[in-house]
Amino acid sequence: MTTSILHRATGVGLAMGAAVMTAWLWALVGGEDWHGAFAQFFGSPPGKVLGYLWGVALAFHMASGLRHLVWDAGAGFSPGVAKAWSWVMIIWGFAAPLVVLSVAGVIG
Amino acid sequence: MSGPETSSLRTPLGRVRGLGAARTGAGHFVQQRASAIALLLLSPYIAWSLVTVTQRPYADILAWMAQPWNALAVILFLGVAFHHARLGVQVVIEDYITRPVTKAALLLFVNFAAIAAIVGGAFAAARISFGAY
Repeated sequence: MTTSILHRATGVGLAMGAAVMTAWLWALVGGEDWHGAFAQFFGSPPGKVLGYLWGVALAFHMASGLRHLVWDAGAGFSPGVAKAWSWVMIIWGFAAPLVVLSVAGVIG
Repeated sequence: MSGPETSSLRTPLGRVRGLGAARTGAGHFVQQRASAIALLLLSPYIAWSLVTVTQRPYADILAWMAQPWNALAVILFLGVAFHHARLGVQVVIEDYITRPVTKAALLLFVNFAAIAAIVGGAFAAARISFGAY
């Protein structure tokens, strides 16, 4: 129930993120000043939070989407299994981007 | 009377109204899943690239995009991601927006926006890759 709406909400959020990515490509074409404005925003606290939330959305949506593919195969429907995986996906969603940022050296 | 007409499990009224299986939608279902599988492979590469390359100066980002492999990955990602997004957002709109005019307008907007983003984004990536920025 919750994860169903989260799958949709993160999907819509990621669509907006992809739109921002195309804007970023045009900022690169536009020159150093345009790119600088982008870099400045995503270097600021609100920009960092937004970037992290997009990471959370991607990690969760991928895990949730993978579960949809498993469901399509007709497996994993029992309430216990579904509920356990819902928690795993939510924790994974918040944790995975932190691990990626840490490995990339962006955060300590 | 006999034959398939009367042995059908559907009621005559249901048959007359033509309300039953939509006879379309399998294509949508399959494309949503096929693009999802492609994105399971593409997204990690794009996400990792965005995290790492955006830490570097402007010139380095352009050099990254100038690599054919990276430009192709970005263009491929935009194509698959916006196709997937278009299909997904379509379902969300169809489920939550009941007013026909609003629904049609939103669906039209989402389709236009997705295609504009694919073509526009690919054009920008190609320009950078070809050094025409």
